[in-house]
Amino acid sequence: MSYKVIVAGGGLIGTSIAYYLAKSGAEVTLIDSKDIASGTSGSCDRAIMIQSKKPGPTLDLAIKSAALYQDLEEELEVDLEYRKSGGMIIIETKEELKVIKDMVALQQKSGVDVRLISGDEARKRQPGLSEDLLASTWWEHDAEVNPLKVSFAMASAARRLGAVIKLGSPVRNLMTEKNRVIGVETSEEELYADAVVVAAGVWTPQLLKPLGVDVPIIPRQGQILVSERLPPLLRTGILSASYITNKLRKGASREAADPFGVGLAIGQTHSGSLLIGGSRQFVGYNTETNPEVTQKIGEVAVRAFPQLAKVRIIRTFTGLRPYTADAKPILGAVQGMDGIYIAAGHEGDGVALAPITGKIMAQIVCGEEPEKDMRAFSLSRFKQ
Amino acid sequence: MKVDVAIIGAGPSGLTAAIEMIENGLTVAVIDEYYRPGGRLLGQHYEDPKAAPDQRVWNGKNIADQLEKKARGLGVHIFTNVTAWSVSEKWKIHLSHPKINMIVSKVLLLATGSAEKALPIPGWTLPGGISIGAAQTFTNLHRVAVGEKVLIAGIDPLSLSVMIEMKNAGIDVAGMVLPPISPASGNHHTPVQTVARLKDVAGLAPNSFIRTFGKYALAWFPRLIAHALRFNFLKVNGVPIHLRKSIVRIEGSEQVEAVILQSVSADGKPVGQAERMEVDAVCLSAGLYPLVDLAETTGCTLVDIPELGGVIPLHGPDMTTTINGLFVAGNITGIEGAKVAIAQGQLAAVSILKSLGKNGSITVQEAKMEMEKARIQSPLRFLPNIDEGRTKLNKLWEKEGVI
Amino acid sequence: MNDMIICRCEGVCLSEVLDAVEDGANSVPGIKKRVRVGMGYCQGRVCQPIVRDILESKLGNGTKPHLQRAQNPVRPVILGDIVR
Repeated sequence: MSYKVIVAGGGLIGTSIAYYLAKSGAEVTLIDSKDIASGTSGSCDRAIMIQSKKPGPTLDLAIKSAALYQDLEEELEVDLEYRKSGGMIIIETKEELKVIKDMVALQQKSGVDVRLISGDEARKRQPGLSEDLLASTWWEHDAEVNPLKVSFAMASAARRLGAVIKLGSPVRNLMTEKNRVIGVETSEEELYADAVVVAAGVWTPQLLKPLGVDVPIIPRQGQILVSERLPPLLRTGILSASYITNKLRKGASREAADPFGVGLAIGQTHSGSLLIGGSRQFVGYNTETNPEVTQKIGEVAVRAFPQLAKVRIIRTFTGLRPYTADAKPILGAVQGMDGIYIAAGHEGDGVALAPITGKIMAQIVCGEEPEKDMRAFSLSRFKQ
Repeated sequence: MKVDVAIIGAGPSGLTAAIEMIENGLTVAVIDEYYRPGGRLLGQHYEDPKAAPDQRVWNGKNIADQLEKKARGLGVHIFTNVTAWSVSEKWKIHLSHPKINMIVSKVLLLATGSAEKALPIPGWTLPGGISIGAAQTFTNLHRVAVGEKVLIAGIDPLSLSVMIEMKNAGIDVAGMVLPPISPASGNHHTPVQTVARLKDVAGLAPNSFIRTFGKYALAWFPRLIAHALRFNFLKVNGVPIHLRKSIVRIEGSEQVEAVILQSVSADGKPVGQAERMEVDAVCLSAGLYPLVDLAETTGCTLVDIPELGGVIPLHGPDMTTTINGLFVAGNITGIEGAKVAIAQGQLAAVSILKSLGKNGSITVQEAKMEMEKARIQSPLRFLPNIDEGRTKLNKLWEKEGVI
Repeated sequence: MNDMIICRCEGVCLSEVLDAVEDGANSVPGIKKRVRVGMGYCQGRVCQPIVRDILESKLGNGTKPHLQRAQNPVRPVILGDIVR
């Protein structure tokens, strides 16, 4: 008899889990209140950047995920616009240089041989970078992909393997019996299963709350600018050091200095548009774009890449990154309850970690030993 | 730059509102992305039979010029070729202007007008395929013929009035046909429906119809619906209006060379043979829809009322919206044409003046009545069910709006 | 008919839009994410009314699908013109 699993959430994480579960032979139902990639996963940039991951368990997961990405196009039979073009974290100030030097040292210890290169070498690798750049990192194994294609490809592949996908079907609540989750109630029907995986990003806490389970994920809004189509000008993925420091920062003093938390992250799509990000703000579930944030991101972009001053911006969009206080996603079973698993909280790492999250969650849900010790990602770590 | 009122859109409603407000003591700035003021007035040039004899010729460009001259003369700041790319708070209007980055104002009036709905036909992207509004602007503003032999696809009040304008300018209009019967073009274009809409243009072409049918032509219109089955086409200004022919596709290798037409029954089903007509330009007409993109960025409530042309800002009878200090006027409130737009501009201005503690040259009540009058006197009704649309809107406003 | 262009900016044709609806898209943004309509220079000003009509006729029942919302900048702007 087949193992019945419901995956609640049709973004990068949910579709990946549905795919790997279906691949393992489970009977999968993937549900989303709206559509595939209708939430945060529809508002991402293209980076599969290992370099930007916090050294430690997250970095380890990212390395595994990057390896899965190498063969993913073939496996899913879809052109994902995957390109291994390397990555650079550009450094503009002496303070940033110190922070990045430390980070690089940690990364090298983890086996990621990122190099520090001079401003001149950076400008050679990526023409157009500002003369004022102090230095940069460089790692050839960073990559990029079209995240929308990943979500849709995972969903289609899951469907080909027998998964049922229900769209426009909001989950009203998780159904429980004693201490076990036995299924979900949507606006249309009651669905029963052996296990339920909640991969609903920033909407995960609301689903778990009625069970008395507190999931400390809060939305962190980011805005990205989209340019007109341009001839290929980006040779590699680019982040700024301030992007990293904003991502990993704690503390109110930094908020005051830059309330929008802007750091540069640029990629170029296959159609030629530049995706120029991005901001980080805690504004609740607000997805409105803000013209002042547009200006601030533009400022930072033009400073690093002066020729961008001539480029036309045709749109901006926002996404709500699922933030956790320790910058690690929440992956695994919910302690004290049966049949319920969480896979959410990837704050800015969702694109990179989607494949490995799917693979490992499928292992966990099916009762296998996960290929990596996942205790660092457990929900129960927050009880301390 | 700081002003009392910022107006987005220098069309008839925006300019009229600007004049009313500056005459009564407010500072006003008007922003328009086009290279000159006038909006949709610029392409309009026709005879209005409902108007007094000395006002029968409606020359939109002249009217626009007069409004602009008056507004500038009174001290209204008018920015053209400038894009208001966003608004925030109350109110910062962000401009793409080399020197003035932003205008700050107490009140914002959105008079952004309308845009044309596209009419997709196989081959419509060939050079020579042009929207009816663009054809109107080329003909009347730029004095450029859009082709040597022009076919118009889409029979509605706007395309009929443009056809008359083009014919008067000496352009060879080969004919007018129905749009394609397909899911991509909506489903309101059977011969019977199209003929029923012709009465909305009745006021506009009576001279031609009178020449063709005699002086009782206007009274004959409702009966034309029944006759649609018998008469396959009318001729207006010598141009055949093929009520029972639908365009199937546009052909050509480098540009428009011909169209394929298909005869259809009264309820739009294909009958008989297809035929080929050689033309070098096709004007596509599918109606106008309100341009609400800036409105969407303000956070005001928007409602979908097809009878008014689509999604519009929810607004009250005095042009207020669900956001205090945000007003609307003109085609953004529903597609009704220049005369109504002008009256709405006046009404919005008087409302704004009142909200800032000042008097207008007429009261809000008087301005409302002027608007009703303009509605009745409009030579063209762009939308057949405007009155139902307004009723729906008012009901929604009573339920959800700010009083 | 099926290779008729719907989105002029991105060159998306009718058959792709219909495939997106087949694939489960129930909103204009859903079609957009699958086949790129509305992602180009005009941001849907030309194609959204068409896509909306197609979707409404496919969904039936008078269903009003979600539409793409305008965001800042509502027109293309040169980055150098808008930064402070």
